[in-house]
Amino acid sequence: MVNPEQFIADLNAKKDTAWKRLYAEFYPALCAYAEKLTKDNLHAEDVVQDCIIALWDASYHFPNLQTLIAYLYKAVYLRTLNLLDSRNHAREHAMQFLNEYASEESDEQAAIDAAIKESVIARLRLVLDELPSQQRQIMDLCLQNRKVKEIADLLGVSENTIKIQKKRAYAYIRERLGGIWSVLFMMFFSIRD
Amino acid sequence: MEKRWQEINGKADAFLRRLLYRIEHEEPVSPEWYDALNHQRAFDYRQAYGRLLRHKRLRRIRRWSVAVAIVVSLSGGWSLLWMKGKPTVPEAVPVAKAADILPGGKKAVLTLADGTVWNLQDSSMVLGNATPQIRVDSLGLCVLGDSLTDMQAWNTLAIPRGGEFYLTLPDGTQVWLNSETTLRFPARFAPGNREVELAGEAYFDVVRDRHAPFVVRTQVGEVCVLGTEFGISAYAEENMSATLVEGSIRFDANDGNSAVVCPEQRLTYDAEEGTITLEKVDTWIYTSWREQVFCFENRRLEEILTVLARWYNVEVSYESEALKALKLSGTMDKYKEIRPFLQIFETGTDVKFEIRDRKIIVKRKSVHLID
Repeated sequence: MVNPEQFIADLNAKKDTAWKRLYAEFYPALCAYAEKLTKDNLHAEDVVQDCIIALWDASYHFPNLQTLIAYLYKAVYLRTLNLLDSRNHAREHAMQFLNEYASEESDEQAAIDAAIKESVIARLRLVLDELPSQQRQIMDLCLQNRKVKEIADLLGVSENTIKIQKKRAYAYIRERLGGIWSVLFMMFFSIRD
Repeated sequence: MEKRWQEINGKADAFLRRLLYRIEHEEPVSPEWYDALNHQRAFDYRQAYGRLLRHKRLRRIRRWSVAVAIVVSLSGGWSLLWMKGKPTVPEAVPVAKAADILPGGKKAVLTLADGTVWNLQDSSMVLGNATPQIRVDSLGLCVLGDSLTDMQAWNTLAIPRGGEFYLTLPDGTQVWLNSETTLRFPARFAPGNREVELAGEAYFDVVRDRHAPFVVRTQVGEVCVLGTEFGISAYAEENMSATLVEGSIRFDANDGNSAVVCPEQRLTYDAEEGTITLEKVDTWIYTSWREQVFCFENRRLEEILTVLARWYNVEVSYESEALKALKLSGTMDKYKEIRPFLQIFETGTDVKFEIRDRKIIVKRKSVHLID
């Protein structure tokens, strides 16, 4: 169970375990986010790495988790925009992507919403990884909209087993994500800064 | 601003609750969720983290690489410059001005199975084809161990006082070696078996392999590993200790005593008494040496100065035995000259340090002849 204050303290102290966790939790989300912004695959991974490494070099002390998350998504967003500036057609695509999220909202709001979504997925991904392998397989199949009977056939177990395992998986997920969700995922993202 | 936070928080909350609700009640979930999940899973964060580690090493090396930079510009890459040294542990630090006690750096002596000796110093870090199975680069040593290598060939890497080193073994395991340390390792691991020998202090990040336990043999016993990160301190004149960061290790003492160590625990073995102690610790205190800092928490001055003496390659003597027992705490940058630390120790305590050449004499500050 990751304590947000301890995590931030360890991160600021440059402890390996904290930075490893930062990669586990945020790297895939930031890459997916960057890739969505630059559909022609403008080295999303390089962009994210540059941002994280710059963060490490700067030795900035984060007061809390919110600031860290906001910084990361904002940094990736700005860096990809910089790249896009030199490629106008790609920029159009990025704008189109952002528009999918926006209604009457601005580009900024769209970028924020996209970041929120990636962030949610990242959390879910990590919790799913914590499940025992059968439960994880079952949850994956549920997310693909498979019915209980289908899953039972695919995994070669009884429908009853599936139902029980499903219940256990939910209980675990809700316990991990439910209570602490509000505390952990407050994000502030202002591009006007 | 609070309102903004709540707004965003509310959105995140809503996204997730909607998803969980749908799954639970077997309502159809939009495929974009699963796609997004897999999209993230496609990115290898472990490899990415590895790149941060390499970046950290390179940053440190730049401090010492002035000589290397000149060499590099000659051939558009790393040039081939190597020195074969005499088969003795090298002079750890060149004779500097008496005033400066400079911190340690990358120094090691590699002795191959065939007897050849390589002297690896800061300014001679190079890539070479001299030995196809072993590469030396700016980070350290990389043992390749391909199938053509003779399994019986054992190599020795010796780190002098005032030195430190980093290497990777054929299976990808990373090892950080502290001052006054010797590591014996095979040029190639036998299948199902990964063994090395250690005298001194090292930190291991072992690649997981169920079929080939990793074993570190020391003079008093051996540490058996599956896949994990831990530090071992096995200096001849001290009690052996092993600090486990992640994973699981088992220590088997030569006298038959044995113990399994859990993460965040430190094992100490007293060979004379034959006792094993396990305690829960902040592993950072015992493993920070491989980063840029030394971290002491309520440690005896004697222990602290032993660590510093190895790194700075100096000698320490005490005016009185009682001074050895003084307890101190602090964290300090390894790569600074020694004087600032000594000054910190002097503040607020009854101790004074006198430096003569490469000797530190620990004295009492106040002189009370009559109480």
